[in-house]
Amino acid sequence: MSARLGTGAAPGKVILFGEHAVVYGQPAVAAAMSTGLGATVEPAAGPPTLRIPSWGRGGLEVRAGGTSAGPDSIARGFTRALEVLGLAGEPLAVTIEGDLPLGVGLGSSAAFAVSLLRALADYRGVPLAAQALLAAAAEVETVFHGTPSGLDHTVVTRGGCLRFARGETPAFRAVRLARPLPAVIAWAPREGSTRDAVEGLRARRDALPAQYDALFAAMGAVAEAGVAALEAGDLATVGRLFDLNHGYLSACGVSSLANETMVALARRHGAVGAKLTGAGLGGATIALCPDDAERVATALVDAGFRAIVSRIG
Amino acid sequence: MTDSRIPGFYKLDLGARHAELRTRFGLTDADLAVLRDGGALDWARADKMVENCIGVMGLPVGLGLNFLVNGRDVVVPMAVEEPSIIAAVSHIARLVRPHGGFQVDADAGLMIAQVQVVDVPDPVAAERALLAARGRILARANAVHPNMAARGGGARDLEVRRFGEPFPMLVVHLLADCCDAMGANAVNAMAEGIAPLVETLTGGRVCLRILSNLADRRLARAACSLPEEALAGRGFTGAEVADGVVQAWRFAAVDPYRAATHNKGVMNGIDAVAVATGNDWRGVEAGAHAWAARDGRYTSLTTWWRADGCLHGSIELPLAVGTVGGSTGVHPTIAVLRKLLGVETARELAGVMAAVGLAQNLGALKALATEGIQRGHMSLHARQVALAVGAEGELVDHVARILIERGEIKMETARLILAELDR
Repeated sequence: MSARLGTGAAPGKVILFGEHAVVYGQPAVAAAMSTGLGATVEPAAGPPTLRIPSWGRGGLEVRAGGTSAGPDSIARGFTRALEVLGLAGEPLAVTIEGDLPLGVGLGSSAAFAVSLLRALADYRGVPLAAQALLAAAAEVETVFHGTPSGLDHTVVTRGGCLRFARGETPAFRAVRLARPLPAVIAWAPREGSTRDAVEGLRARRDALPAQYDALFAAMGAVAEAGVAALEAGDLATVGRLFDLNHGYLSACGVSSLANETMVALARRHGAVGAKLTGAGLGGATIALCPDDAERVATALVDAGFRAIVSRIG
Repeated sequence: MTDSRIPGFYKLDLGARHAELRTRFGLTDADLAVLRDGGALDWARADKMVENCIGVMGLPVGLGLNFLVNGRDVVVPMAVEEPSIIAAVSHIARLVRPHGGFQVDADAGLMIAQVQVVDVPDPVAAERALLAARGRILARANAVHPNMAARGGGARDLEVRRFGEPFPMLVVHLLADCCDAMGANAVNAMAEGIAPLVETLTGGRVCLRILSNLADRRLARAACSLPEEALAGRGFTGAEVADGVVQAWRFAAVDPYRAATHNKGVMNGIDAVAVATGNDWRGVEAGAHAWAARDGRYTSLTTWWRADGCLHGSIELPLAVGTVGGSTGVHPTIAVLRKLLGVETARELAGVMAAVGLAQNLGALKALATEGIQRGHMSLHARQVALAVGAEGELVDHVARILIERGEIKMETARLILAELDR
């Protein structure tokens, strides 16, 4: 092998059931995607740099410590990761690649943090223990989200499928999928931030608590039924529960024209169920496609959305 | 650690052998039932494995015994239809056992994924561009299969090979550590994943994207030594047998016609373990033979030599085998056999398989060599018989030859032959 290098990767994540309702104490189910981000660390001549050729217009490039054309949060995240691993100021160059889009609710910032940390640890020659990785990822992710829920980087670090319930101990429980889910993930630009979606819903709920709490409870029940169907490998039921969950999210007012269009197109082209995934107001949609995932993805791309075929879990 | 030496195992009846498996290896009644029932792979499951499925076919499974591998006792499940293979390998393992057994090691699970690029306008510039983008290409490959990287593996390095006339093309090799998986699916997905980027960087057109079975970054090695006296027996000195083995090896070393048969003997053992552990034995075969021809001439996978009163042997070959994924999780018999074998990692499994290949080879060479010596002894004996019944001059050789041809080196037969010749 030629010059010393470090490699690492982390999957993207999708929420299968229970987004938003989870804020109100209901269970949620999230899983890792078969695709994600990969990171490579190579020796370089100057101070640490980070390139992400697939992000932004024509790619992003940042320098540790700020002073760059790229977004500040990525530069700060990079700086934090180098500090955590004791590599600040080392002459190295990092490249991160992958089809995971930024900022549409597919765990890209967690995958960024985890793939970067894994590659840096590999380069350093001392692997990070699972617990240390989780803590470091939480710290790096803070620069993106303020206070991350822990859901994203836990799923992205552990992989597989997890049930999450705030306030339960342990908060995470592994869901053993009978088989990975064949899915199409499509996305559109966000029309509002996660905070907009969460705060808007909070205001609506506080005006009509009984009505909204009933919706949250219904989503919680869908999540529990979803766990059973996932463990049984009953894709038809999982699909129907996706549709139900999407209906409840629409009723909550977190869907958008783009989300509704993606869901409708996916169903029309053969998906057995589809829902928005993540915070909504645009962003990502997941469609369950046991038969012809390519056809569903093509229909979505033809309609102007971005879409990838992925296995979930 | 369970002793791999089970004296008299071959003399036990089937039930008694299973009783041994229960006490020594903790197999359950359910495990033993799976072994007894040749159709443990049910038809419905088989139908999901291949097309036009019409049934299930059984193979005998035996245990290679007496193996000491890196100081650890290992019993080796072997699924094979040919008689004598398991007896021979167990016999050699027993001979080697008091002399340190087998020393083995195996590389990490590095597989090669190949991406073929044609119609490249400037191959030299394209090669430079690919190598300059190494970090980006590796990152993209790992993004396609993040689970492998999460387990400590994943795409590790990149190489570019340039072919000229008559068929100019660039071939990109992606080296990916598949950890304990054989890794075919993962590296194929990675090759697929980097293809668009490779096209952009080279200006060429990507054709094939697939793993190479010549897994020469995933080699396994085994070695053993035993004092020549340990080979003595059936009227032969240890030195005679050791010399016979080395002569037989030299034959394979220089002659591809012999090397093919010699290596077939090596693979008798390795394939039987591959089948028993649910590994792709065709891939293992392809890798072994391509490796045996790596210098442009097909030769022996093993080496045997004499030094310091000992016979020494070694083997090195690619062994792309896994302990997770593939059919390893589908077939119930394989699950039970894996429990018996008791190895966790792909590297341990490859090491055991290399030891089995080396032992199998010595078994075959020892038998062939002593058979050769036996023929020599036979002609000596036949001449003595011919002389004893009164043959003289040229008739001695003549009678002796006929005795050997008839396979009856007896005075009575010699007398009859002599009488016929005298008439």
